[in-house]
Amino acid sequence: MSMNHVIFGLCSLLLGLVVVALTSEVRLPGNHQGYAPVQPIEFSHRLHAGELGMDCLYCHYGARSSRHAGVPPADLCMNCHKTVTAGFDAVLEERDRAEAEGREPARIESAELRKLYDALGLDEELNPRPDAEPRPIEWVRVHDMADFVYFDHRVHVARDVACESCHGPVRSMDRMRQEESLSMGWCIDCHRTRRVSVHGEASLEGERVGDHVSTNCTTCHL
Amino acid sequence: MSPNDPLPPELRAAEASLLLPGEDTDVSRRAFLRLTGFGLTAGALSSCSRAPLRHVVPNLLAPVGTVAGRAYWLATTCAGCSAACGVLAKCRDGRPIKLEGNETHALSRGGLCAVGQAEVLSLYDSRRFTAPQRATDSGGFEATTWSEADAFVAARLDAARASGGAVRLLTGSLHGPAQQAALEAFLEVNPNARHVAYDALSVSALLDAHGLTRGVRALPSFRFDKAEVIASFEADFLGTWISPVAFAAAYAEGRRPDREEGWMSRHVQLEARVSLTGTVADRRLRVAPDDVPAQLFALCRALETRAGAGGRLDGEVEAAPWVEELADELWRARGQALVVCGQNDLQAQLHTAYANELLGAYGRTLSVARPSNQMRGDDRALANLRAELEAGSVELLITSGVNPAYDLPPDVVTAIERAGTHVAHAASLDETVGLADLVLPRPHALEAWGDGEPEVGRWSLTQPALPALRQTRSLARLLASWIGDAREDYDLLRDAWRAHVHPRVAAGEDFQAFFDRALHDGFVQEARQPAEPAFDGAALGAAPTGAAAGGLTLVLHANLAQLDGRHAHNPWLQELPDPITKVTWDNWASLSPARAEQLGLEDGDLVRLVAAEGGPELVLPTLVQRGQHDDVVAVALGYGRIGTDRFAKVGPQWLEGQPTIERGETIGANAALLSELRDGALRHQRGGLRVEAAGGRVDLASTQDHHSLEVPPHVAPEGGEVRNAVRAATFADFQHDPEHALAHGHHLPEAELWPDDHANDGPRWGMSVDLTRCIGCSACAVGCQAENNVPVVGKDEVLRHREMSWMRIDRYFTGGEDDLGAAHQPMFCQQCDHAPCEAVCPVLATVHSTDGLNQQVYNRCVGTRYCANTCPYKVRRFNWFDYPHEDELENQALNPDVTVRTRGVMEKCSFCAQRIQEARSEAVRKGVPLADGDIRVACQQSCPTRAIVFGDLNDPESEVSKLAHRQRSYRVLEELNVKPSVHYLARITNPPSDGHASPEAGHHDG
Repeated sequence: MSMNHVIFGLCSLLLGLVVVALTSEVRLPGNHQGYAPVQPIEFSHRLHAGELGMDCLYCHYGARSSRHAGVPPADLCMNCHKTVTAGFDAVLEERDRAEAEGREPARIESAELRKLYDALGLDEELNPRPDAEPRPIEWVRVHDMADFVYFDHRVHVARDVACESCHGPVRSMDRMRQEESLSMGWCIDCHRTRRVSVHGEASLEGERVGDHVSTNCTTCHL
Repeated sequence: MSPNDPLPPELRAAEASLLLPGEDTDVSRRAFLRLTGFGLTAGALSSCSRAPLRHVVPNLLAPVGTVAGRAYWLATTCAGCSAACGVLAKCRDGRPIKLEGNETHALSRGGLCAVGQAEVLSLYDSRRFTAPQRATDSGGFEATTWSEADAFVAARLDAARASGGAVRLLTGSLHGPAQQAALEAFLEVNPNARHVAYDALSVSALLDAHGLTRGVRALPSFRFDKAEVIASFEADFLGTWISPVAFAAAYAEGRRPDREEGWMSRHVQLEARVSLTGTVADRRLRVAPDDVPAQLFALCRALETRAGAGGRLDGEVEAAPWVEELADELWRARGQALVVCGQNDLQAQLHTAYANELLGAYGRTLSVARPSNQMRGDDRALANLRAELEAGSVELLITSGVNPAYDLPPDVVTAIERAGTHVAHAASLDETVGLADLVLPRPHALEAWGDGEPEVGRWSLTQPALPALRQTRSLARLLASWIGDAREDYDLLRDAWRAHVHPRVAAGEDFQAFFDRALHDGFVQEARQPAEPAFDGAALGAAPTGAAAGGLTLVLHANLAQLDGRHAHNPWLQELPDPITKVTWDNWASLSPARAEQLGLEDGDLVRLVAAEGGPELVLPTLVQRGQHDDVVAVALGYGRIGTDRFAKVGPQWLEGQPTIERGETIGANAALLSELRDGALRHQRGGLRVEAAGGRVDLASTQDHHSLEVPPHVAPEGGEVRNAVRAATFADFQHDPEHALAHGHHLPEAELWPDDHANDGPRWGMSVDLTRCIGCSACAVGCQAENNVPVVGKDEVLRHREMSWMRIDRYFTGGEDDLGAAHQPMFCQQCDHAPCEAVCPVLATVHSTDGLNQQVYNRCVGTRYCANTCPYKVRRFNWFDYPHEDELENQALNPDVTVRTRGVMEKCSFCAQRIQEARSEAVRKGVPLADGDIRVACQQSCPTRAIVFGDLNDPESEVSKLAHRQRSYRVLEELNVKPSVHYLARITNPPSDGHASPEAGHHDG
C-alpha cells in the first residue's frame, strides 16, 4: 500500500470521528454521565429529598461512617411507609370521594409501594405473610466507580462537601441520574482547587486548614 | 493524492474479490466510504457506551450496629492449633476477612502466628462437607441428613449401653467449660464410654513427669519473660512447641539490649536438627537426640552439687563438656532460670522437672499451680485404646477433630479399622474419614459458638463471625444431642459459663453483664492465685541408658506452617517458605553436610528412609542442612495429606506451566508412618535408620536464593564492597562500646535528589524492624498475604522465582557447623525517599506521595518492569498472569479495600496504604488528630514479638522515631543513598562469654 493510501485512510477515519464529535455528545469509554436507568421501584428523589425536604443522610446514613453511602435497607423505608401507603394526592382524592359518598375513606395503597411491601413479604394489612419469601430489592446502580477507585463518602461528608457537588440536583430528579462524569480529571479538579476545611477544631497531623486537599495516588487507589 | 488514483494491483484484486459480480469498482470512493463509516461506527460505539447493568442489593432488615462497607471486629479464639490464642476477627458486610491478635489477651498478647493468620482462608474452603455422609457398600460416601445421622448414632449408643460394649471418643486436647460439661454429661449417661485425648505433636511425657513429681498430671505454664537463662533441649518453643505465639511474646520481653532498657536473657539451645528456635538462640549446640536424656541427667547431677542437694540420682553418665558450663550459667540465674525439653520421653522430662526444681524455677519461670490446658493428650491412654481396638472390643469409636489415620503410627491405623462402628466428626475429607461408617460435618471455629481454657482459670470465648456456611454441629452439641439434650451451642455455652466461670471471675456481678463483657473482650481470668504443689522426687533415680541402635537417628518434627498436617489444604501455608530452608510446597529429609557428602547426596536427590526392615519406608528429596547433627535425619511432619492434589492447578495455567502436584499424588510424604507408639509415649524419634539413595531427583522450590541483595560476582566491581544487610554484635560488646560494636565503615552520602519539590512537612511514614526480636516465625508474611490479596502461584512458578509475596524473610546463617545461628530479616518495600524505581518508570506509575510513600498505581502501570530491575532490595513483584480467582467461596477472604491486581502490572508492599487511608478517614470523621499507634500495618499487628513498629518519622515523639534514633538503628544498603524509610535495629545476641558463638553478619547463601 502506498503512503498516499495510508494518509487517505487516516484522513477518512478522522473525518468519521469528527462527524460523530460534532453530531453527538462524545465521551471517553467508561464515562456514564447522564446515565439514568429504570429502577425496580419508581422511587422519586424529587419527592423525598426535594418536596419533603428529607435529609440525604437519613436514608444514606452509611455516608457518615463508611466508604459507601449505601442504599437504605427496606425496613428503613418502613419507618414512614408503614403509615404512608400512598401518595398524598391519591389520599386526598379518596377522602373527597368518600366524603361525597358518605363513607369512611378506604385504605389505599400505591402500586409502587406494594413492590416494597412484597419485597418484605407483607400482606394488605402490612403484617408478615407466612407463605411469603422476603426477597431483597435489586436496585440498579447509577454511580459506579471503577474497581480500582476507593472513594470514601465519610471524609467528604465530615468535611462538609455537599452531596450535590458530586450527585447534582438530586432534589429535582424523579429518577436518579448520574450528573457528573465522575472521571479522575473531574475528581482531581476539585481536589486541586478546594482547601481543607476541618470538621470541628482539630486537624490531621501535619495538615492545616487551608491546605490543598490530598492529591496523592493512594488517596483513591489502593 | 487525487481521489482518482487507482489502488495498487494486489489491493485491487483483494477488493474485487469482495464485490458482487458487475458491481462498480470505483475503489477510491468505496475506500473512502468504508473508512469513514468505520470511523463513524467507532466513534458512535465509544460515545454510546452504557454502563454495564450492575445491581446494588441492600438488606431488607438492617443488621444492628453494622454499616455496609464498614469493618467491625469480633473477639474470638483461634482454633488453628490447641494453643487457643485470642483473636479479633475483622468482618465486613457479614463475613470475616482477616484475623488479628487480641492485644488484651493475657497469653498471646496480640500476636498471631502464620497458621492463625491463614485460618480465615480455611473457613472458605469449598472442600468442607456440606452435610453428613454415610459410607456406602462400594466404599464411597453418600449424603444423608442430620436426623438420619442422629438415629444411626443413637442406635449404636443404645446397643452399646445395653450390651456394655465399649464406646470410645478420640479427640485432640479439649478445654473450655462448655465442651467439658457436655463431655462429662455424656460420659455420665454412657458409663461404658471413655474419652481419650491425644496430641499428634505429643508432649504427653511432660505431663506424665509432672504427674509423678507433683501429683497432678498437668502441663506447666511457662513464663519465658521471667527467665534470664533459658536452656532448651530440642524444644522449638518459638516455632511449633505447645503455644509458640505466647512463648515468643514472653521471650521477646527478655530481648532488650538497648541502654534505654538494658537487659537481655541468655538462651542456649541444645538440639540435633536446626529448629527456628535454635537459629535465634544466643548459643546453639549440637547434641545427638539419643544423648539428651543422659545429658539432662548429668545437668541435674551438676546442679545437685551446686545446690548441696543429693541422693536422688542413681548412676553415672558421661557428661558432655558443656554441661558444667551450662550448669554454672543456670545456677547463677537460679530463680530466673528455665530448662525446657521438647522430647516426648519420660526420663528426659523427669530430669528436666528436677533441674527446674533445683533451680527454684517452679512458681517463677514455670508453674503447675495454674497449669496449661493447651496439650492434654495422654499417650498411655492412646496405647490402651490401641490394645482395645486390636482386641476388637471397641463397639463404637467416635473420632472428633483429629486425624489419627494420618498422624499416628501405622499400627494404630490398622487398629482403628477394627472398631465395630466408626463415626468421624470432621470438617472435610481426610484419611480418618476414609475409614469411617458415618461422617458428621464439623464447623470451622469462625462459624460456631465455643470456648476454651488455655490455662486453668483463664477462659476465652469463640463466637461465630458469620452464619454457618455448612450444615455442621460442634462436638459439644453432638454430645448433648446424643444424650437427649436439645440445647444449641449458645445455650450450652451460657449455661456452662453461668455454672463454672461466672462464680470464679465475677461472682457479685449480674451474669448477663458479665457474659456480655466476656464476649466483648473475648477473654476473662480469675484473680485467685493457687499454690504450687510440692515436689516429690521419688520417681527420679536411675540414669538413662543410651539406646544406641546404630545407624542414623530419624527425627520427625513439626513444621511451622503445617504443624501436624491439619492445614495441608491451605494454599497460603503450603506456599509459605520454611523459615530455615525456605522450601515451599514440599517436605524433605535433611542431612548434615558431612553426612550428605559421605552418602554422596545433594539437594534434591531422592533418598529412601527405612526405619525397620519390612516396615514402612519414606522416599523424600534430600536437603543438606548445615548445623545439623551428623547422625540425624530430620523430616517434617504434616505432609503427604490425602487430597492435596487439589493443588494440581493452583497458580497460572499456561503453555509451559508444570502442575504443582500430579493428580493422585500428595504434596510431600507422610512422615508419621515412621513414628511409634512405644513405652507409653508417641515417639517421633527412632534410631537404626537406614538411608539409601533412591535414584532420581526433584527440584525443591526454595526461595532462599531468590531476590538476593548481594551483588552477583560476575558484575561486582573490583574490590567491591560486601553489603552487610544484617548488622550484629554481642550484648557484651554492644554494652561496652555501641559505636564500635556496630561500626559499618561506610561513608554515608548526603546528597539530596529532590531538594525542593519533595516537601514533606506532614507525616512521613516509616517503619522500624528489630532484628534482635525477630524470630523468623513468618506470621507477618501470611498476615501481609491475607491483608493485601497476594495470590498463590504454585510450585512451578516459585521455581521460576515468580512468587508474589510482598514480604519475604531473608535468612542469613551465622556461625559454623557447631554453633549455627541465623538472622531473620523481614524484607519488603523500603519506601525510599530517593526511590530508584520512581526515576525509571516511563509512565509515572510509581511516584512519591507527600507522606513519604512510594506509591504503586496499578491502573497506570504498563508493565515495563524497569522498576523491579532497578530496585536494590528486590521487593517488587510482577503479575505475569491473571492469577486464578475462580473459587467464589475462597474469594470471600479477599480484602475489599485492596485492588486485586491483573496481569501485566507491578506490585509491592504499600505500607498497607489502605490502613493509613482508613485511619485518616476515621480521624477526619471523628474530628480528632491522628495519634501515634492509630495505624497498625498488617505485619506489625501479627508480630508476636513486636519487632515491627510503624509510624510517623517526622513526629519526634512517635515510637518509630525514637526507635530510629537508637544506636542500633541502621538502614539496609543506606550507602546507596536511596534513603529508605525502614530502619532496622541491629541483631544483638547474648552468648556466654567464652566467645564460642560470636555472631557475624552472615551471607545470603545456603
